[in-house]
Amino acid sequence: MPKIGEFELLVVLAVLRQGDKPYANNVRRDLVTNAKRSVTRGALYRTLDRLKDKGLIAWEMEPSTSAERAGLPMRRLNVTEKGVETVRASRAILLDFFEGLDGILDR
Amino acid sequence: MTRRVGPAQPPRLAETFLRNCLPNEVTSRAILGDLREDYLERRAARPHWIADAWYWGQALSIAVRFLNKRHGSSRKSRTGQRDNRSHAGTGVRAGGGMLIGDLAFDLRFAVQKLVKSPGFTMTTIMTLTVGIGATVAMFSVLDAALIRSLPFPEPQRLVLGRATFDGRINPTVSYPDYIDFRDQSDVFESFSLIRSGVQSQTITGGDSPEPVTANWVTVDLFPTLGVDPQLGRHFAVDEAEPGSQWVVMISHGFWQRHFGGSADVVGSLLIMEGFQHTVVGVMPAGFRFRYDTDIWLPIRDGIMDTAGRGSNSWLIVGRFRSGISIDRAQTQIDVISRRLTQAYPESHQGKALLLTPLGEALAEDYRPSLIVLMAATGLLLLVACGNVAGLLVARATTRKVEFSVRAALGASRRRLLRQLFAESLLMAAIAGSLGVVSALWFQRLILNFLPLDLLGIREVGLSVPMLAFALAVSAGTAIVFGAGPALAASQVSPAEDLKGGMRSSAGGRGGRARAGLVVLQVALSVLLISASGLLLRSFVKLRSVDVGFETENLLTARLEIPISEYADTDSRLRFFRGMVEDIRAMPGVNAASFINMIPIRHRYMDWSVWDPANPPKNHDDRPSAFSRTVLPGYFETMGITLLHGRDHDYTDADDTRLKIVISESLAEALFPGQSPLGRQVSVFNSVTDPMPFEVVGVVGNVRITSLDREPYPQMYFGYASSRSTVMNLIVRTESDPSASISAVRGATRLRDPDALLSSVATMDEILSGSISANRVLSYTLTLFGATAIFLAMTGLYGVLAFYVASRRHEIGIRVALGASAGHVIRSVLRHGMVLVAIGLGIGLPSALAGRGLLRWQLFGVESGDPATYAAVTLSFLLIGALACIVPARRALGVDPVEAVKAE
Repeated sequence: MPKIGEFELLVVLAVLRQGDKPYANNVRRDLVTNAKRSVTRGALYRTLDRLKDKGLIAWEMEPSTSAERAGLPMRRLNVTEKGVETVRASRAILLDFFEGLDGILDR
Repeated sequence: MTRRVGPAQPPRLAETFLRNCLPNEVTSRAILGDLREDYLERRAARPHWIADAWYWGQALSIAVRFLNKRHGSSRKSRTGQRDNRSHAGTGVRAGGGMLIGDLAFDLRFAVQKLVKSPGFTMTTIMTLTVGIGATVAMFSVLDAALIRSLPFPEPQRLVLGRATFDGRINPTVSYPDYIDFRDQSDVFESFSLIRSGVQSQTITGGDSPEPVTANWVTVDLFPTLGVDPQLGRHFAVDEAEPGSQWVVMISHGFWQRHFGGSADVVGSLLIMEGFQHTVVGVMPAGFRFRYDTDIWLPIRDGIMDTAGRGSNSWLIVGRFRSGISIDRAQTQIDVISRRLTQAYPESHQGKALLLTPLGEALAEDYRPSLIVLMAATGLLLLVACGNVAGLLVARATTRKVEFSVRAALGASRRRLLRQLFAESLLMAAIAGSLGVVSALWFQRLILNFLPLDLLGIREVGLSVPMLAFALAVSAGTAIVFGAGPALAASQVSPAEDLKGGMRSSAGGRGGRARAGLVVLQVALSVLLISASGLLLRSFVKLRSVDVGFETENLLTARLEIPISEYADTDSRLRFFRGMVEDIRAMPGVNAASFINMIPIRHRYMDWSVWDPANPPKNHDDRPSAFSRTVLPGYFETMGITLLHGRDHDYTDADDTRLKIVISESLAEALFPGQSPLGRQVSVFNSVTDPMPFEVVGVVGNVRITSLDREPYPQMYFGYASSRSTVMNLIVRTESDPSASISAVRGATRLRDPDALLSSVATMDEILSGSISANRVLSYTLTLFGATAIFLAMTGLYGVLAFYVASRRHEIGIRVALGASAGHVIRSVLRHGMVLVAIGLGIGLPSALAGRGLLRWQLFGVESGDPATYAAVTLSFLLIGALACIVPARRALGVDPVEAVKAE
């Protein structure tokens, strides 16, 4: 199982959350708005590259339909089976660690 | 600024840059698409330059991320580590992206190199910072004053109309001329008038009288400019008609000061000069047009110099109808001017109206000074570049072995060049950034001296053009000082250099290059010093010009008495006369008197005057002279020569015939070759009917408007003809006049606690204030010149020190063979002075060729003044010799045995 950092985990989750619109701009917006992270594009694109190198995500190019992109293609991101597996493992570890801490965290 | 057409596009350059930095062709297109989407969203909500700046920021940050990644991997492969992501593997393209990656590597290496020699790095960066900072600051001021457009809508349609006589600008026009131009032309959307200069007025009715500055404008001036009041309304057309209610518009500053920023100021009453005025509008904060004005009043037909074509007190401001060119408007105005010349041949001979774009006209006074200063800072920057280039050449000489080793290990010449250039670029970039910071400081310095607030410029600050200029200058600087030395240093022959070490390169190309750079610095310094020499001489001449009175030990102050207490002329005159007597009785005071307007400080106010026996043929066509009201003793106090007749006298008030004292030039104009004493003159002040006066005295001419303008005819009336409650006190003291200020204040309080004493200044302060721009220009250029000389001489010293050091062997042998001390010194001196002489040989002719730039700045000095150039030559030879002496003495100290042994 490849190691995954906190930001990488958030990115993979964000890709999963986008449903049928898993594009980089939406992922970034989701991270900024809902995860309250300031995400520079450079950091996001580098992370996507890294996640792809680890085999956790993949993408395919699709032609853009909007006039705003002036014919430039879009990257449809998807989380690989290995990616889902890694996220699942991370969740299990996190839940284990949260176990029994309610008394402290809910205070 | 060019405006883009069609659908919005991200900055193309940034897009190309990013595309070249991204490793993978396919994903790069997707990333560009993402960015474009967000960019368009921003464009819709914000000004395009903000969106553009955002795009650039994003492009740079993405590029840095990906370059770091690539650089990391290429470094790994260089160091022999296994590189999983080889260029081919990830589809990295060679070319632009690769170059930037290598540049980043070169820069990092350059940082290490520069940190290792902090002395050299600091000297270089400081020298460049001064050069770049001064240049960028000067550019920003120049940009604000001459290039940036006026803060009015569609400023290109605004013009200033000024009168010319035989082609020479004498800006003010008369009111009747204005009416003719307005009514006979059809190219203007609106055509307005503003009085030239502000007048001091007094607001009463409050706790104490308050001095204000007032100006008169046509009711449509502010709509012409396109500026609306912040509160209230513009003047109404019928408010220019005689008999209508007196109204004023007030400045934002006066609103805050007098009314405490009260929101219901509109409709308030102001008692100005005893008349009640209603406030109808408040102009917005920061609005300023030509003068610092508190209160604007509408020009009314029939008052304020509105009659008489000889009463030139007004400036025209026009706004063209759209589509009208200035040439077309000028052609029409010229036709009207010719018509006026035919109708009024005596007053309009050679007179015309010149239309100038408003921005250009307002900046005109500063343009020559600013351009000279800009040229001077540019020269200083070049000298700094020359100096730094000299340092780099010297440093390259000492790094010869390093380069040879690298070349021997396989570094190509291109590789070495790029490395050296990265070092220059890095230093220029640091100096550029520091330069921008220091430019903000320089700006304040410049604005302190150059009163650009007349253009509405009080602060310049950072601007996009300024930063762009700083970037260009820094890059240019890096090329200018870095290219030569880098080319020279990268020419290595490892076998030779490694074998010979330092000695083989000592007197070679590097030495010649440095000598050439010294020549360049000397030549540029000669240019700067010649200019500053001329300006300094001109300044000294200006300072010592005969103004027509004795300027030393003279104190002046504005004194105002409340109208309510001094309702009639007699009581006012009694007060002022009493003040004169009180002050004359003070210890240390030689004389005192009053005048309504102080020379140099207060200008203008010319009235028509003529000899009734020889009246002007045309009613409107009358000669004019500055009119001043004085109390007896004024001429004695000022030290103005009484040439014929007598001064005014307090008993003149009892005589029914009004008395006048006139200047020599007016006497000559009115009564050529005859004695004017006892003669009658008619004076017309444009308000009342012409009045007869009897000439009782003739006094010397006085420069009234400025030190560099020839005296204009003057006439002096007794107090009875003005009866003003505001007069200016003149006190002649035995020694330092400022020592008497508190005594004068005390005397004023004692006589009447309600009297308002203000604007206290010595005459020396007034005079030096009037030529502050000349002083700034000459002092700044001298400072620049001195800095340039210092840099050039350190360069010269460096070259000679190196020359001596590299010839220790030769000198040692010469001394051993019996060469005298004189011979050794002469040989070093000759080497140095040849460089100075060549520099002079290039600099002096260049200075002479460029002297035209200074012509308008000079007073009483020819731009080709031989004395100045001789002094410059002599001082360079002297300073050059001084710079040679230390190395020459060092040469003398060479011990022949040591020198020969060392080799």
